[in-house]
Amino acid sequence: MPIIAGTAGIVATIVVVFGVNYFGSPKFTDTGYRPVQPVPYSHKLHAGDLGMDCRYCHTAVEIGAKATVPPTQTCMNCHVLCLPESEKLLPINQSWAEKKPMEWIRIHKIPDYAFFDHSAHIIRGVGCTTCHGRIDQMEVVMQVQPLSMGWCLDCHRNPDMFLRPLNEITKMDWIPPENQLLLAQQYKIDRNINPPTDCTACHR
Amino acid sequence: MSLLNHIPKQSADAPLDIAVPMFEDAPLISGNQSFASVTNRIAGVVEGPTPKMWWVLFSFSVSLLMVLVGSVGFLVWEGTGIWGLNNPVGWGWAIVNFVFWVGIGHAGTLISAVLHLFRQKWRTSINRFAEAMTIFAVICALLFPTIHVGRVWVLYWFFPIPNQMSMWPNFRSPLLWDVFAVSIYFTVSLLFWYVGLVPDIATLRDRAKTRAKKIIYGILSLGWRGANRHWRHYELGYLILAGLSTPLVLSVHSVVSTDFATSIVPGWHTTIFPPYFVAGAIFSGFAMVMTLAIIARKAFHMEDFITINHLEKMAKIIMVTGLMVGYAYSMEFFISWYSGNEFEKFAFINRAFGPYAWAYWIMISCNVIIPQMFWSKKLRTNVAVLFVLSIFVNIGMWFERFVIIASSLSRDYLPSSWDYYSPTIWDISTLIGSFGLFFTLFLLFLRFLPMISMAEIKGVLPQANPHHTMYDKPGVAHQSR
Amino acid sequence: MSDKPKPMKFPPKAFQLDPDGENLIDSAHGKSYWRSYDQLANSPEFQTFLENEFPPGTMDLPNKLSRKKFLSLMGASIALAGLTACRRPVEKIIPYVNAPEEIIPGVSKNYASTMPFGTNALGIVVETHEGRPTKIEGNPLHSSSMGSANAFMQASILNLYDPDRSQAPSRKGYEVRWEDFTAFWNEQLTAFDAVAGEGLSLLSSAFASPTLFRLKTEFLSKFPKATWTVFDPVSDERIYQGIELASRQKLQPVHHFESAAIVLSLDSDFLFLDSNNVANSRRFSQARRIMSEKDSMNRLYAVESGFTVTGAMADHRLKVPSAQIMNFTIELAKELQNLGIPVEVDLPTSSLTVGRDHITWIKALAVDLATHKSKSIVLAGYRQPAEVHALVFAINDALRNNGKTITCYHPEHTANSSVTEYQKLVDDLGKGSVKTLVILGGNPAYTANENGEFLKGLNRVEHTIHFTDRENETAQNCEWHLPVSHFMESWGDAVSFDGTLSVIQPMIAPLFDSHSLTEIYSLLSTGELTPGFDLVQSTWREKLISGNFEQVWHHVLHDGVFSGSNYQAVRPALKNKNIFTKSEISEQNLPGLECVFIPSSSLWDGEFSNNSWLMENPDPVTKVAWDNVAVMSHSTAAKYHLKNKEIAKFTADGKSISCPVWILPGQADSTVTFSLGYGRTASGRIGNKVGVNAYKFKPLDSDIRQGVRVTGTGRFQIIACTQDHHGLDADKLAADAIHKRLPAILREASLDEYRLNPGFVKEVVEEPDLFSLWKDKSYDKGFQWGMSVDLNVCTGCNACSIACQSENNIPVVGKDQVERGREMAWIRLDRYFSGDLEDPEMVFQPIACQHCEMAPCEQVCPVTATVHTDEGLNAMVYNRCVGTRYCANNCPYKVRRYNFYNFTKDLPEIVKIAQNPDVTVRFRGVMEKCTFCVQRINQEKLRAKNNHQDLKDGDIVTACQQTCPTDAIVFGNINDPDSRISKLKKQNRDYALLGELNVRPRTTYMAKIRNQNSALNKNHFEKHIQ
Repeated sequence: MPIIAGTAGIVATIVVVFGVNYFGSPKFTDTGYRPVQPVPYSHKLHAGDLGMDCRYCHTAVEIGAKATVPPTQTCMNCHVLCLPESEKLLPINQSWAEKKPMEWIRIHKIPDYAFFDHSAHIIRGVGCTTCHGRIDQMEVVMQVQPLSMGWCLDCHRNPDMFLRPLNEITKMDWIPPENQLLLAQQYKIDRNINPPTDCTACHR
Repeated sequence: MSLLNHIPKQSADAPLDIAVPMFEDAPLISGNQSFASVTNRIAGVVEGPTPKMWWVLFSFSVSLLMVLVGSVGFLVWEGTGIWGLNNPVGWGWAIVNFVFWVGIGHAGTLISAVLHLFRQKWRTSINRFAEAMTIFAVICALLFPTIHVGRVWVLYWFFPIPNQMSMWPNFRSPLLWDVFAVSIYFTVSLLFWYVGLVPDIATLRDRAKTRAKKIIYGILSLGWRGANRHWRHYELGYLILAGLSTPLVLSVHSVVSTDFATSIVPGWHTTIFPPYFVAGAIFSGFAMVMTLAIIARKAFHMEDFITINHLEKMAKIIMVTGLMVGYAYSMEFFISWYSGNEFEKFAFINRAFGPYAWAYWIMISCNVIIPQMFWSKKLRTNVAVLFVLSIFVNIGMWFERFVIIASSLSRDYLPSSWDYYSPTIWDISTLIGSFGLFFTLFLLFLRFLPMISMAEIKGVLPQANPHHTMYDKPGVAHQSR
Repeated sequence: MSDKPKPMKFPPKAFQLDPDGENLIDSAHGKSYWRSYDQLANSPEFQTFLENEFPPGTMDLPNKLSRKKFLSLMGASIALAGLTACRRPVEKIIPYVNAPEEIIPGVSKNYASTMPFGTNALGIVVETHEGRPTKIEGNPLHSSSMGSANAFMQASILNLYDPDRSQAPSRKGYEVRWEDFTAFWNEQLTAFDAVAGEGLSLLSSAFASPTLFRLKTEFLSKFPKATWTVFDPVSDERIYQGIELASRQKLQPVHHFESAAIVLSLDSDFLFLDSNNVANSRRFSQARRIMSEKDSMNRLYAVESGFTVTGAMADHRLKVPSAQIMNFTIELAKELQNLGIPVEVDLPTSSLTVGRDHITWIKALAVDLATHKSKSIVLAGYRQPAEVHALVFAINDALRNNGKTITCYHPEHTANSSVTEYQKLVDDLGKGSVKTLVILGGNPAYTANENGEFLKGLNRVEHTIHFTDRENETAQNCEWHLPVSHFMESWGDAVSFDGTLSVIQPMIAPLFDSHSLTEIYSLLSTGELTPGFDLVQSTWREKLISGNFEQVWHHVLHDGVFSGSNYQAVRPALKNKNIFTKSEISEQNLPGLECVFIPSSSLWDGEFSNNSWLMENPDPVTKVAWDNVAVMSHSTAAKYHLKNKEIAKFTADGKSISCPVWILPGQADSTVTFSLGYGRTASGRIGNKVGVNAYKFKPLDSDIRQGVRVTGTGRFQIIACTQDHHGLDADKLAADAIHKRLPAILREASLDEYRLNPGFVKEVVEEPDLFSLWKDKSYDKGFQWGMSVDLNVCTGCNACSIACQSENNIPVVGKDQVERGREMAWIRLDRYFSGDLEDPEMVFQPIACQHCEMAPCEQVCPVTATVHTDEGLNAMVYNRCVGTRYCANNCPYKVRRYNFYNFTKDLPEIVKIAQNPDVTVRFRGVMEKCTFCVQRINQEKLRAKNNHQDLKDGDIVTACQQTCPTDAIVFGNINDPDSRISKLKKQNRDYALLGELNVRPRTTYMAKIRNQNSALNKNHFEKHIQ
């Protein structure tokens, strides 16, 4: 009886610990988050089929910390001419007419005590898909990576597989070539890449 | 059930036979006790009607417990700001109470384990509730480090659990050692206590009238039948646990002392702390056992089982450990002077003559001066005196921790940040509340579990000696050969 | 500064949408940011900050369960319920509709502007995030700030976001619209047109601004019979009078301390509580800083009644009651004449009670001055009467300092304060000859209501119109109250003491329904509201800029200054021999005490009294926060049987004031110093009912009141003091310990001692050869950040701590918490006294986290919330902190600050805008401390890397270093042998505080040197007291 009790206890602890560890982590809670946006904007259509570059809308991604969601203006650049009457575009047109901003629903979110900078990663050659997945194939955008601290650290400790030629940053179907590891060594030297793992790198 | 079959048959001239009482200067158990009478007396307490007094005490301590619940609730709600802490003094009463309770928790294991290994028969009368006291004290102790942190809800970061942050605790931090030391100590003490309880619970089970009791005691007694095999395993297991917990008695408080000893605060940074803390712990622990024993034997008329003889033995230990503590105090002063370190020197002069002098002198008088009264046999055999003194010692030991923490922190290196620390109503209520928790648990124990180990008592009865001619007759307490 | 100042075409709209929906403060709570003023107005936060629910003097302290908290709990629980329902709280991203081109979300921009300060102009650079000003720094191109900012400049950003500013115009307490006023005013104008402004009086604060000056003259030409009075409670009026008395010219002196070897300060706090203190400090420090024992440094003599920051810097300080400074100056002049210095003034026979030390002192001083002709400065404080300033002018003239170390200018575009005119106005009011009174800023009902005459008179005026930023004491007694915009919301211009012209450009559109002073001035004469932008431009177009306007204008906006616009210096001669009307100056010690009234080091004249940063910023000398006290010496207190913190009643001329006593060493006997600006009743939730209103006791026409009697009341007051008075009271034990420790903590020598023994610093404490139990981490690669603080130039002016507060979102905790010893300042200024109790020297030591390489805090943290980075930073990770406070206990410098409560919880929404989005706002239960401004380090490193540049020495500037007016703090890479920091650390004055503990701090200090006159030399290693 004590043996049974003992083993049961141990098993229970293990189950709890790892259960919490898995089900409590962003890997489980956050990935796959796919809210319905006010406008059924299709990245598949724009980024995929039409092949627009990410930076057409997310302008500041190379300059600043934030990739920035485009102002209504950007939508109107095209949509004054193309499908101005479309039902789906109604909120956009309203926003433009009433000068009231769109309210998109945030998908990729890190806590406010973690400071992430897009430009730092883009300029070092970490592509969009590395963190955001195949946006060009998403009718509705969803979160594909956990964006958890451990996940960040994995890459910061060993970024080799995620570095690419700078001209292919926004290339959606990029896959590492055979000699990736060799190239990566070169990239690291050229672009002076040494990903920090200090706390202060993100927390301040 | 028969108790005979567990007593090994062996030659009379084997002096260390566990069944045979040691050389005694006085009978361990007074009054005409037989196996049956022992069982009746002790189990009777549990089975009999609840005394009025119990209800009075219980309701009182439960109300104190409510004070604790309230204070802790408000603390978690508002933050540690409700306490009197300030910038230089980051640790206040919470940590004082922690060390205080852990210290109390020492006597139990010491009595049970160490005295058991040394075959000190006289322990049998007090070990059971000494152990109980240990467990409850450690529970109170564990409470304080838990609630004193700023963000209780992330306390699990103390434990090395794999997580998505890929973060581990800092194994260099004494606080982490605490977590392990105290929790291990708690687990082992609990096991030790429970194992010791099993035969008695079985007795209760056999005597139980109501079905509910039968079931509960039945489960708790793990199917104990008092078979020879059971006793053999029991004795062995008990011995092993005793062996396991003996080093813990020393380790726990040594580790607790490293919280202070490893930091650079003048007045904390001394190598004498581990032994000094252990001595202090045993000192206060025995004082607390004394207090409780005196109450219990009075309340439940256990004078036959907890004789003045037992109390005197404890008084002697208190006096000895008291002297050790006194030695440590003086040694601290000597070292600080001898070190020639200005900061150290000041820390101790400041203790004795600074703003916390009042606390320091309370400590000295309670811990060093008053126990000297035990030199006189007259005093150390006087129950009233013992009771009062034991309480003084407890007060003194609480102040020892207060002096160490408050006086050292309030004036360390840079005079610009010196400040005085004084507690708020919430510090006080939390301390009082912790006593509520302690006594509530203890009263429950008195009510529902045998406060004295029946099995072991029987082991030291004269009838337990196979050479006792007519042990079916009520025997006279055995005089040793 | 991350990038150079830029001109701003249009002020960004108020409360620009936050493009990533990240509420600057806590996006963690998924709160989407309020978008417009209207929405704000309806938001519950706004409502709560409208109703003034905070107990005055203290922030809302969570010691009781208030209704609000209960509700918040309910809210929380509901939120939790919601959490369990959906997977995570929905958070919005709200982009612009139409993105303004110059704003990149998340990238800060700096703009140059100007902060008007009395008749001075302080050039500033404002950091803005998405159009929200978040931090003020000095403008390096501006002559009166020279890249630094004092505490007032830094903190004025909080005045912008002050929730207690008036939200809209009101008449007789009822809210009205600006149109109502313009309508009313036009009637008035037509009425007054007929009588050329007869019966129309204006009362404004002093200003120095081309546009305002133009509008004023226009107004007066339109209404010749109208009166325009200029008045400030604290002003340099007497300085101007004195110089005019001596030279027969209106002149503005500017002192060039950088080229002065000897400086004599007569009751002047020119390094701190002075209208030009930033420039003064910068210049003074240039002549003070030494790099080795071979360098020479200036020598400062201070003669003053109360202990000031300037007195602390002095090499020789003489305590003399303020009223006797005149006698002292006369004695000095005579002594100089004896030495053959032609001080061509008929000196009256004065009788200064000269003790023997006074004589030697004056003789030594005179010799020093005489031997440093045209390389010395004598200056007197604004408190001193005109005669003193005249005599000082004469002395400087005789010493040929005028034109050399002191330049004088003909001030233009300035309206100076005048007490006599103000008194005349009050008389007119009393006579009832004023029909309409317009008050432009200022708060006379509080500052200048002697015997209640002003308010009495006010009641006799038909129409009273008050323009100011809040419903203050005066506004409450006026018919019309019209909100004035903060200078960061308005277009304007200003001119500094030396004539440098600069433009005030708005950083944000007015938060409330207010208008800028410029607009109001023109409204008064024209009757209509013209955009301030046009008004300023037209001034500059017509008067100031010749040639290509657009180009020059662009430059002026970009740089923040109109380069080359400063005045031509004039060489005034002494024109008047008989300055002194009386032929004998009697010894001024009337029976009883002398009370001296100084502007508060926190609130100035009361203008900043609702500014929580300043309110909680302890006075550098007394270390008292959240109160003003009656400072007096030991013997004075003893003489009148007063105890420290005892409330004493001071009475004179039928007036009386009750104020807690504060005993301070070094205070001149029988002199009591009061700080102005406290005891407000209509300032706001911070400033109301804090301290006592010393204006009630101050004579209108003087800052000194004599013949004051004092009696103790036996009642004591709780004073929040950040540094206890050990050793002053009976605690001999503590005092002795401090005497023993101080020489090692704050290492100091006289210049001669230093030259004799350049290595004295190392000899103060013997350090055994230290080794570590741990394996030493090597810090020999990459950047290794370190800091050096030069105690020789640090004046203890508190600018660094306010800069830090602004940069790092440090919460204000309130009087009660400060009194409990829970203030949060990351960088504090320790103040110690050395020497004997009655006439000590004072020294300051800024202490922030020392970033120890073997940090005791790191070893004891159970959850590795504080660890060392490869660049040698002692990182504090708030979000990992559990709050055991073990690190704070184990920190020998006690620089770690703990959030005992959620201090930012009750911060009004509008105040949160002032917070720096680059720094996490800490939650309760976590430890915090100086990070060496790691956010700035990261940003600069990133900027350099993204632009493929190398990080240059000086690219990274910490907030404290950036603002330090004496450049005492230097930060940089100690691994780079050519960096400024490593050069400094190589100096023989460099020492590590508590280095003997082997914690290896990255911040080191440079010993203080006092350049003492051998004739008056004092040995430095004598017993110290704190």
